[in-house]
Amino acid sequence: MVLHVRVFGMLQECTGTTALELNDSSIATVGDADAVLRRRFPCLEHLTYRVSRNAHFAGRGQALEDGDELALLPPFSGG
Amino acid sequence: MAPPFRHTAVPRSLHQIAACMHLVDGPIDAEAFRRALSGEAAASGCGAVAEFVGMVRADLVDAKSTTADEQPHTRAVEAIVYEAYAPMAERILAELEREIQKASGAMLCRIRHSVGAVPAGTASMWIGVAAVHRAEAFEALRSAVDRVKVEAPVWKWERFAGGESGQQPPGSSTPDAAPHKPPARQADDRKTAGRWVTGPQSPSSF
Repeated sequence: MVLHVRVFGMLQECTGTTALELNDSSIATVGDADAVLRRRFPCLEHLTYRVSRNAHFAGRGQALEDGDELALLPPFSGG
Repeated sequence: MAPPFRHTAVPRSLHQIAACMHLVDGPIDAEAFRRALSGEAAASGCGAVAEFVGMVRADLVDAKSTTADEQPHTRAVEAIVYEAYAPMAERILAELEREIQKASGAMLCRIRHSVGAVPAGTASMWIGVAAVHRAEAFEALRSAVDRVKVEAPVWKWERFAGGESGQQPPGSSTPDAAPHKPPARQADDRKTAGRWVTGPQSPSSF
């Protein structure tokens, strides 16, 4: 499964990037993808963020499909 | 000069005719939006129009030095660089407009938010509401301002005076790169150029 991951705000300091791809056949859910990302970027363990799937907030158990876009969303600070 | 982020906001020259778009590239021309809303309000029989204009302040903030002791020193904010998750932000802001109109009884609610660099002293957010009576207008306006700040997927990075005007937030120059840590020197340069502002929202991870 190929997933497109976007990274926003201060999480970019942790990951060093704004976007990346995950290509991992073991990923089936949002929680699986988040676990892979946390292994790759251990600094995420210490940060607060939510995950969206295709621009909608997603829970850990939500199933993923090939080509989905995930986004890591730290607390918003607009205005 | 390259923009600090890659985003999909409407180009500045077009944003005033794209009424359905909520994200605006750079500073907001509040006067243009106010005129448009006033025209709509008059045509809709509204007796009250209220607006909120959010401006970027030239705050003095404590920023970490790049010296070994990492002592903070004062820096002036010359601009705020806004980043948005555009497809999600557009949808959420449109939903907010509809929900606020329904809850408050206001007839019109319009929300616009900047993306990209907004210099100190210029506007980064504009919210306008129109209602038959002032009470609904004030209620709608306060609700809209409060909700945008915590519900719209927008983030701000304060750019300090004295840095390079094209300085980008950490990580933003490598959008397609494989996971890596930025070079230490580069990261230090960016710490002196600006900082991310932490939002009030504190969601759990899921």
